[in-house]
Amino acid sequence: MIRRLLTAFLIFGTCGMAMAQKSTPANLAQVKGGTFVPLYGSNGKAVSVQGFRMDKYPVTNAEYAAFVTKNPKWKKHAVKKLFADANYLRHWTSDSNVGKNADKLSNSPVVNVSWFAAKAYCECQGKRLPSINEWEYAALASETKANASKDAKFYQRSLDWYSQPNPKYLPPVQQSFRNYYGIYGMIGLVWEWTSDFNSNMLIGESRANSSLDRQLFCGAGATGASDVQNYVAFMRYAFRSSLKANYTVGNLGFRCVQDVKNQAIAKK
Amino acid sequence: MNTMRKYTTATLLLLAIVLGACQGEQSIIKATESATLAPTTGSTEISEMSLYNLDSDWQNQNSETLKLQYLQGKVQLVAMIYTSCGYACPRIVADLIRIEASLKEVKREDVGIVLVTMDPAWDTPEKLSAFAKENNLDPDRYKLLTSKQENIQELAALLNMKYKMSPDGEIAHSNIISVLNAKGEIIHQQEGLGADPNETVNAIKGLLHKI
Amino acid sequence: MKMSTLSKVVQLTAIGIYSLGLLASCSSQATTADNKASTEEALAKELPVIQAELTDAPKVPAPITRKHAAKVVVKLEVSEVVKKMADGVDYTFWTFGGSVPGKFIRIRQNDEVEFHLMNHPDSKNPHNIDLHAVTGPGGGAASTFTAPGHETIFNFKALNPGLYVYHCATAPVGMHIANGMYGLILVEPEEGLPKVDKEYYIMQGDFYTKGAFGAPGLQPFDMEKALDENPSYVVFNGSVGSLTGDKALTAKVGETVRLFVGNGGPNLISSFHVIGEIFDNVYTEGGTKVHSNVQTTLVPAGGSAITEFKADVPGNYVLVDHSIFRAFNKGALGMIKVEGGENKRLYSGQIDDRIYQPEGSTVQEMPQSATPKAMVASNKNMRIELGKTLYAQNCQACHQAEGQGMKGAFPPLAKSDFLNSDLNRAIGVVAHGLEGQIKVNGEVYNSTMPKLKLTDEEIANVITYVVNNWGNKGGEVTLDQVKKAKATYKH
Repeated sequence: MIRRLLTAFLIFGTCGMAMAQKSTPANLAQVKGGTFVPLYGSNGKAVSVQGFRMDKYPVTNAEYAAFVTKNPKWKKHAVKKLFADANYLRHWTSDSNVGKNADKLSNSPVVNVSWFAAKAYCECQGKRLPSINEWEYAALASETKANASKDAKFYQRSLDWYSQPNPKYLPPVQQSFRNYYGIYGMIGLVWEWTSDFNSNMLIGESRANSSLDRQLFCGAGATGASDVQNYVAFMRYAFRSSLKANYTVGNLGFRCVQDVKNQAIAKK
Repeated sequence: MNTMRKYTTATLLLLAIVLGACQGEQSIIKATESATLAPTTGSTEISEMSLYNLDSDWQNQNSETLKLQYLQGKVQLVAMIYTSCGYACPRIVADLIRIEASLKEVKREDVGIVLVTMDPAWDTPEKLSAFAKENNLDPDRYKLLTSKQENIQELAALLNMKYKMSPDGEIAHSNIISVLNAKGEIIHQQEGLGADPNETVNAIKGLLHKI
Repeated sequence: MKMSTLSKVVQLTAIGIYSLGLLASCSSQATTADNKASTEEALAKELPVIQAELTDAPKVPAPITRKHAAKVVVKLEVSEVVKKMADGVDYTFWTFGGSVPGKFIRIRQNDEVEFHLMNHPDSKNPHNIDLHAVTGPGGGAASTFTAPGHETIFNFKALNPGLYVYHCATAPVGMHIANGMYGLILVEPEEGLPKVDKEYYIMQGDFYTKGAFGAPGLQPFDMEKALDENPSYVVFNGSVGSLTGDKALTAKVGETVRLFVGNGGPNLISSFHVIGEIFDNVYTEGGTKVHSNVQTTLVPAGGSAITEFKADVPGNYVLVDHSIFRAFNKGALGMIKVEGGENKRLYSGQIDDRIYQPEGSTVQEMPQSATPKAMVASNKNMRIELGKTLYAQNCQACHQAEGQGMKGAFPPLAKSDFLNSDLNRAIGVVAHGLEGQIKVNGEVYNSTMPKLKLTDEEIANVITYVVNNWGNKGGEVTLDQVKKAKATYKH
């Protein structure tokens, strides 16, 4: 019991410190609000995305190790299976850092982390996980355009990346492409967690997804895809829908976002 | 022993409030003045896969604050609803009542039913209470819970629920009834409306047999 | 009625999703398994448990000899791998079991299968499996949606015998199949299939690469071509040459051969044919009905056929998709080598090859033939270019495409001492024809070369072509030289 209390205090301490640093957005990029048509969930209509700040890089192993050190309940062997499955931090040889491959991986995106772990990390930075719409919106950008969804070269590069198996060692986060907003590696590094990864009424049987099964799901919107030729988006949505909150996957990392100044959350 | 535990629970609760700050200042729990419910059973050991590992605070239809761990010690059926829902939620409740009907020979206190709202902004404890009365839900058996949006999101994720709030107030969601054992682990899930409840009933009976 | 079917569907889906959800979790997994097992206890208890033997193409697991149903455990691992598509061409294949096509699964009708789908942790994508042998929603797809580094399990009973395709059905489905995610599962009828001597596994697939056929390097998937159903490759067993050369299938004379043929698609329907064989039996579309004496059988995308023939005559038999450009230009070519004693009454081989010289063919002069104005070569390369066509039209029939001639009948031009030692004589021969005995490269030839109706310019071109090919000495024959030589060498 005493240990639990102690742990609790530790967490409190960490997060307090993180909060104090909240106003330095050196590693954040500004994403201007706008509208776009997501592949799923909006019935083919454009949705609007409020402006937000996004981490320039996915969270690295080194950054995550620092978090774990301060929050021991997220250590590799301490974590509850409810919150992260057996492959949690599988690529770490040590309980609280990368271990053996530190020279190769410290600056690479952390993977094998669950939704709960990613969420806890962001919250302790005074941030949060991006929503699907925020993530997809930011990922539309190529090096030069905010919306490169009609750019054949950009599309093919994304498709190529999504077709390749994982490299043995993921490259450092700075080495991937920098998009229009100054955000690195949205495509080409790892898949990334989103806060509402489970918000699409998709089932594992993808061919049945074009019509909503009223028995399985209750909902107003059609679930059909808005653009059946957008294979790269299909792959992202398919990937997300294969996940559960405690899953950890060898090419699934995350980055955090932050609301812009006026934090008033409109409740209906 | 008993007082000791109560004391600890209170401390933990206090800490949890502070911990909430990790997620931003706005997350102070308001229900401090109302009654707090402590877990009913002896064991404070929570197993690895128990949903009761969630440390968040919830309110029931009587505005009492509780941890999910309070549900520990008996088999629980869990479903997510929102009371302004016109189609699936009444059906989900109907399915639960159907399952209940097949559990006549089971001791009433052995099985609880938990309805969790997906729409905390609308579903206040008062609304939940009214919903329970409208549907003649036995307050001894049915607990209707609400919490902060992010706590609900976490629970939903653990229940393998898919759900999405639309701007118009409707919520698209999957229809799942989960069976939790006394420790709070998911033992069975019935997906889809109007499903044959036999498997679920058997799962419940199997659990009670083991107790 | 409708309701009960529906709820069954829903239930099955629930089980699938349920098992998916609990796989990763340790502590509750055991409880779940216990629980589930108990509901199916009655059935499962009676059946012996067997681990399925899985094979890579072209191998097939041994025929099933047991006379009872079993609980068969199938463990299939999905992995994404870079492999050879053709010489110098690589492709990232998504596979069931490490290669294309996926592992061959062999079970018996009424077996109960416990199917494990494992997705390798290094996979980029989630995958699932739709087995056409399954009766149930999605053929298992709904129950096997598997994230990288995870494993899903579902059970099914093999109700219908037949040869069935399985494939991945994760969005975007077409791309998963186009990358090689298919294989075959054979459900043997209870009485088994008739005994044969050889069984092989062949599966066709079409592939869509950014580069054209043969363009080297690691080729990415081309979605445009896939949508247009215009493949760069159509191959058997995942790559060009997977069934030729050392990898050709084999049989002995007198043996019966059974081919389990599948077509993964994603787009094309195969016109499966073995050149020089007639299928004695075809289980059309992999079903129960047997058609006899079939030359070419259609194998639909996502379908199959079982073909059988007896190897009667030794030799090489070429497997093709008889939509023939696919065979010779896109890779759909394989081979069965049949060895053993010849039976001349069934097939004699060539008995004779004689000269056939009907009246009126190219060698004769046509009165007043108005030749269209010929192109005049301005340099040696152009002479060679023009000469090539002339050679094909006038010389190749006898002296052959590579100038190798025909032993005993037509002397070779390749590395010919007769030719190279005296070009002027050669000009004379082309201009005036040749009769009588000559010796070329030590061989004696005694036949007639007719006088060819060629202009001096053309003679210069064709001989320039010949001397610059097939190991001859090179050089250029000019118009002047032709004129002079024609005058000198008259017979």
